[in-house]
Amino acid sequence: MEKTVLNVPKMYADHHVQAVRNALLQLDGVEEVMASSAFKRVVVGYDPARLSQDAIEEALRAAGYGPGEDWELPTPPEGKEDDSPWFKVIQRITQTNMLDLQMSGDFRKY
Amino acid sequence: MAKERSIDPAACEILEVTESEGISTAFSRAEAMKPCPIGSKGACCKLCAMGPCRLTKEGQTGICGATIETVAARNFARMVAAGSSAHSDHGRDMALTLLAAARGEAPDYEIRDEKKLLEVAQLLGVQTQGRETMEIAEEVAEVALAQFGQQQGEIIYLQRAPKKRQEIWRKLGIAPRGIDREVVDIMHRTHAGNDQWYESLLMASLRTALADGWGGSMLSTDITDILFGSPVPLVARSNMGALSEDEVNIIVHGHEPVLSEMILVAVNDPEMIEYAKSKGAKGINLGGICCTANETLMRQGVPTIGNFLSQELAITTGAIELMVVDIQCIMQALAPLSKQFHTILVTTSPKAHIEGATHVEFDEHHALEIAKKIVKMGIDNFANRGKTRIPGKVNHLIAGFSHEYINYALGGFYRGSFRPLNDAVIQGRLRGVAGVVGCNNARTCHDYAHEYIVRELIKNDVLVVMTGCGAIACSKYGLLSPEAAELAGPGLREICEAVGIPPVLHLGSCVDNTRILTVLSQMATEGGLGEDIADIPGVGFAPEWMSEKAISIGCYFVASGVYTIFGSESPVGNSPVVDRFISEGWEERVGGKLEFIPDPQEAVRKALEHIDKKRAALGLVEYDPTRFGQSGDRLMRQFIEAMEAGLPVSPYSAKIPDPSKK
Amino acid sequence: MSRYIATAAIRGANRIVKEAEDLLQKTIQELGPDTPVQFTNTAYYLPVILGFTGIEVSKVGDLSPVLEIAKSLLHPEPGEHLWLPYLGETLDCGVATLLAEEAIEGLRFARGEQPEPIPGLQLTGTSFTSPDEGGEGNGGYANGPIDDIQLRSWGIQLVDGRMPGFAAIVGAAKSNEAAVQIVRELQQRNILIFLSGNVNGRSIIHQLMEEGVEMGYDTYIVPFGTDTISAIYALGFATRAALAFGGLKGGQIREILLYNKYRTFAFVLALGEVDDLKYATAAGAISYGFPAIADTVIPQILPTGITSYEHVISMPFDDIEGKDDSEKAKRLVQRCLEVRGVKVKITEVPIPVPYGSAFEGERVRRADMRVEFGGKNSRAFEYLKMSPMDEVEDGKIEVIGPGFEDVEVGGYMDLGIVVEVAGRKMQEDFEPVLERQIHYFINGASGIQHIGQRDIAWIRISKAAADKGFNLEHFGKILHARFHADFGTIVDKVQVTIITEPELYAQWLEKAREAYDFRNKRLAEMTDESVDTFYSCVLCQSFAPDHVCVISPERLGLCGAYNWLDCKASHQINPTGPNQPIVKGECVDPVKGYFTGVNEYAKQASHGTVEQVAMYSIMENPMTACGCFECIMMLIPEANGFMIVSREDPSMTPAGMTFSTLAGMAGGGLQTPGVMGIGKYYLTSKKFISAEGGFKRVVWMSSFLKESLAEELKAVCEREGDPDLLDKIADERVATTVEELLPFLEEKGHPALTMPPLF
Repeated sequence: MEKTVLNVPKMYADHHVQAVRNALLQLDGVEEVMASSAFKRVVVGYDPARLSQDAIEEALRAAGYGPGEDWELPTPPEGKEDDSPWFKVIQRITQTNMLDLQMSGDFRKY
Repeated sequence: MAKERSIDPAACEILEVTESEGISTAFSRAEAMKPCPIGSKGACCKLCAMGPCRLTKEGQTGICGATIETVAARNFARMVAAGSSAHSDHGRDMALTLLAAARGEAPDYEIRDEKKLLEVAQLLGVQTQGRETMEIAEEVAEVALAQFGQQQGEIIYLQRAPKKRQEIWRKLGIAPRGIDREVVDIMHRTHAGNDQWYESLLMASLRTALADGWGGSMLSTDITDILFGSPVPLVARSNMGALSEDEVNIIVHGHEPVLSEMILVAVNDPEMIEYAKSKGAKGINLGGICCTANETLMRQGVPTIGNFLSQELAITTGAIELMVVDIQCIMQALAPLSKQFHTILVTTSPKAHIEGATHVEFDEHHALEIAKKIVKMGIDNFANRGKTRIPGKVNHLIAGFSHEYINYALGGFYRGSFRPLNDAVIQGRLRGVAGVVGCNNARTCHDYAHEYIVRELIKNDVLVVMTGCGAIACSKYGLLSPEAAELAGPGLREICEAVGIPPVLHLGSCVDNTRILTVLSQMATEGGLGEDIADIPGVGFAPEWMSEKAISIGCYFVASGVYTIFGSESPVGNSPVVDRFISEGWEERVGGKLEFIPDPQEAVRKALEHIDKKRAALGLVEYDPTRFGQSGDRLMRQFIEAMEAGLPVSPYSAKIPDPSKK
Repeated sequence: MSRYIATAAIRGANRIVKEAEDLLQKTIQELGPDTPVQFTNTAYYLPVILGFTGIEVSKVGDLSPVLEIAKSLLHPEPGEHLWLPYLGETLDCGVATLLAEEAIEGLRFARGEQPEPIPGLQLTGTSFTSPDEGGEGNGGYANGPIDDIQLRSWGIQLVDGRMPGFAAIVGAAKSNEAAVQIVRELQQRNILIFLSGNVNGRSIIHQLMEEGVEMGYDTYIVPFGTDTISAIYALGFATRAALAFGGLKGGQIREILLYNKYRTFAFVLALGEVDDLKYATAAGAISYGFPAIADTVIPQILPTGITSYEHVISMPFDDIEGKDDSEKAKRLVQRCLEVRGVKVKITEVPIPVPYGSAFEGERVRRADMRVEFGGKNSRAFEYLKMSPMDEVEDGKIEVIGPGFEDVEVGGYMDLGIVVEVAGRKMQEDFEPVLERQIHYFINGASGIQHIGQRDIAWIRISKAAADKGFNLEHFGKILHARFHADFGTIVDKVQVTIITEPELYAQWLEKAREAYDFRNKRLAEMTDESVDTFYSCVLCQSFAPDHVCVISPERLGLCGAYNWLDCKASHQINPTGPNQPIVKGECVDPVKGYFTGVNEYAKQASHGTVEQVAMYSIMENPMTACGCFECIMMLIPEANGFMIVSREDPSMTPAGMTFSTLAGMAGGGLQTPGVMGIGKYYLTSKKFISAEGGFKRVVWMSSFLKESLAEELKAVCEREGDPDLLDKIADERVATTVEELLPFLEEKGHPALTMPPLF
């Protein structure tokens, strides 16, 4: 069995782990898949006689998880601009919100 | 030689030059002239034409019979009045700008922070329901302006203080009635043959200071936020290295953002940039000095070139085409100095003319037009630039901590509160909090006390907030960057890592000291740290103070319950009685005290002692840094490093092999 | 936060929001914006979204504004150097993650992809409308979101602290052994266990399936799904707890979050590696005050504030002291509880099987059964009596007669359990109260099932329990330990006799029956007129601050858990506790049930919200309710009567609302004339809405009630002088609208139609 380590940046969460595993385990010749969403990498154990590394990468690409490919995301608003949406909504609090106090301790309201 | 005058390498570099070339600076003049020994201790009375009387021997009185105590207290009171008037008048100008903007008479200004406007309107009792923004703004400005002329009752902003604090003020009769009235009250009171009891004079001084801190300054901060936006954190540069070799350098210096914000708009005008290019410059580089630098730094990230004592040094670089100034802390020496270089010094305020400077009077009704005119003068001057010597030194800092943002930072939009801050103090991760503010003073080594005190405080797990020239000082030594968390004690480091903040927070200019008051009030009302500002384990510092404004700030902190330590010798040192009263006497009455401690080490020691005393009074756990420091990314980074190095690591074990022993 | 976590969480948030958006667009294109989106059986729409935004999502298109809000909460990742503050930003991103995750699950429901299929999974007790209802068995799917019915039936336990909170477990344990031990430890402390997530495709759900651990509502283990997205159901549960019991409304998010911080003892337990989405979801959970604990190396966040104690703890599993995985798992769970500040009293019960009320709902199927007592073939009874002090020997457990060793596997035998208690504060009145506890106590043992009471008790012992050495004597051990632990203030001595010897068995059965008979008569004699004290119950005030229950002999608490005698005993056990005597005072109106003492008490205890309480009326100053009522009564004006829907009934009612929706109107401690939450046994009381004419006013009731109270209701009908009345009352099988209801009533000649108008 040969092992190959592939970086799959799109696999940032465990529902993608399932998708990646499904895609790989269907391949004839794949013997073992270790997919880690924490480190966004897959270790594939396969039989080189039956399968090439290219085929593995191709299968990943077909499933939408090409090695090295990342999500195309809109850049979140550079938060410190006056007109970024979150800045418009954050509180301009100059008085303590007393809820925290009211809800804790003996004189709690709830 | 230079090293004894400043710890700032950029300043030292230039001081070497000024010394060798014989250029006069505040540094050299301070050496040449010692402070007046009579005046510096508050022993001189020059209130009437029978004097001036100098009271140097014990029991001596003036011609009118004024005692040493009375003279010292009167001099002190007048400093407070002058400081309070300066801040408050700044606030008045902001309110007038808001009024003009709201009425459409100052078309270059807009309401950048509508939310803050509504918030302030609510506090000021201005109806907001179903009204146009500009209508609300107009009334807010009117109500704010009315605070100045109010004769009776209490100024509105006192409501922001904790209930207990308000009660103390009322009980002592020092709740300010109107902003201007309290200044006039001191001027009248200290006129010859009037109030001649030091206690009464000094208590009245507190009221006048409160009219500044909880009046003129506080509304100034609010209105500035309304006009130019509430600050949120941003990355900025500081020190002389931010001057540009190949761009037109324009420096704003002074205090009011009304001018500097417009200059900022002007320098970003593509037409202006094109014009600069046509004159052979690559563009226009705007920098700030003193508190106007802080205003534009907090909101727009305009680099700060230096603090009060750097103003002359900046011109000496030969790289500044134009320095435009408005009010406060502008040395007259700039005018003759600028003549030695190609720099044009432009004064703008009708309140601050300097002989020999070019005066272009600023008028908020034609703000942008005037600003462009000034910028154009600077650009035209680029051709006259000769040899430059810009020290390469530049540092980065995170600025922009408004109290609103701190509230947000500690819990996000949905859970924002001061609870994590209070928790940190309660558990002893933070030993306490400190505000370190104030000027530079040519009588002491430039920036030394600021840097030393702040470094010591954070090492002892005291979270530091800064404003004014003190903040600029520490930014030059990297203390305002998040990486400075490494210099902090273990508990403070944990807090910094948790929130992502530097251990030293930049809260703004010197009028923005009111943000510190607001933070303290919120900490007090949040619970767990007593009911009043005076209960919080915290201290205030002004280690290198020089202006009367600083004295006013010190007094309003004391009156709000804060132990405040000033550097240098006491200005009332001639009278041990008065000296004791502003310390022990005030502490008995308002909970805060004012002390003058020239030695920074002694100052830090007393501050920590005070913090521990307050902790004990609250029944909090004794400060013990060894309990903390376990959180953070270190272990994780080691783990990833070892994994990348191909060492056998398991996510289930923190026993990580050392990559160097591979 | 730490910068590492902040970076990961913000990265995860940005990606999941994008995924949610993509899925939304895809679903709008494929199914259209008007496709309904709803979770199983809930009146709270998509609860997290409702809580945070106040938006009531009912169709796909409604999710667009939600995702706009989520997007507005996103931030860029903090830099490597000179980073800007990130705590507030990360928490906001956490909230954005929660909104996106719930949107995704909502869309998955719309697309028919939820609950998630997990082949081979069998659940004991699930959401009422499991997708496979009527299919082959009740299995093959994860539970998906918890429905309102289950939420409310757990309500009283959540309220009184018996159920401290929940553990949201995400991922997979290091070994199956560790997985089992973790859930067992939590079960013993009555902590709900929510399962989701996976590591390399393997989830703790798979691990527990392999080890044969029973999952489902009844065992407090709820498998949500095998990805982290499904962990959102845990936060949905938390949000709904605040909405249902805290009297909060959608959009009051700060209150909801703080309510959870202070009331719900929940935490996230991340097993195995932690990825970006897990960090992001944990960041969302932190806003609720729920800390996260991981069994792997991750950065720790120890300062407090958003949560009451530490925010994030790392406890690398291999570094925990302990000789095997199961001991390590034990320590891990203990640390979790410390971090959340859960203080749970565990009664040590010296028996060879695990013990805790999470095992109360376990079933022993015939195939797994070693032996049974009672049921079809044999008989079992239990009898608790008070004896003089010197006649009871504390701790004495005697088994008289043969054990079940000789009974064939799957066989049966007769069994009698006689408990004798003595105590200075013990009263004869408490006998039935204590006797009823036997059911709960015995059920707490893993592998033992107890049904019924008195002489219709039915006990099964599983093969697994018998293999571990469980025998008859252990019933005595359980009862001795628990009576001391739970009723120590009124019980000083407990002695248990287990009887299988036929002759003695018959003698004791006779004695027991005499006692049952005596108690029945005494209870029947006990009326509101015959006592001068009622009891209050403010157990729920921690949840519904202004709500007060007044419990009289003829009106039990609306949760069904407390009757007058229970309250009396409870007051003896804890004189300053939630049950306080109310001197009923002068009876101002015997028909509607106004008492001066009751009114005074209600006004004071409800903080002035409730001025007067009519004990026997629903139309005038009815009693308030918290949220954990067994049934809801509501006026049907057209029929001149009332309907009663039980919380087990998910169907539509003639009022146009399901139980879940109605619950929102009836709860929260407010008086709403015409709507009232009640305990089901109140239906059998003579004082049942006697002001409006009593049971004859009932025009519709859930068939569940008709069946489960068949005997009792028959007696009521006879008492009311209309033996066929029950058949004249409609149920969900014949009418779910007023239009269907009225003809039915006319046809049957329901008495309500001819009664005086209600207004």
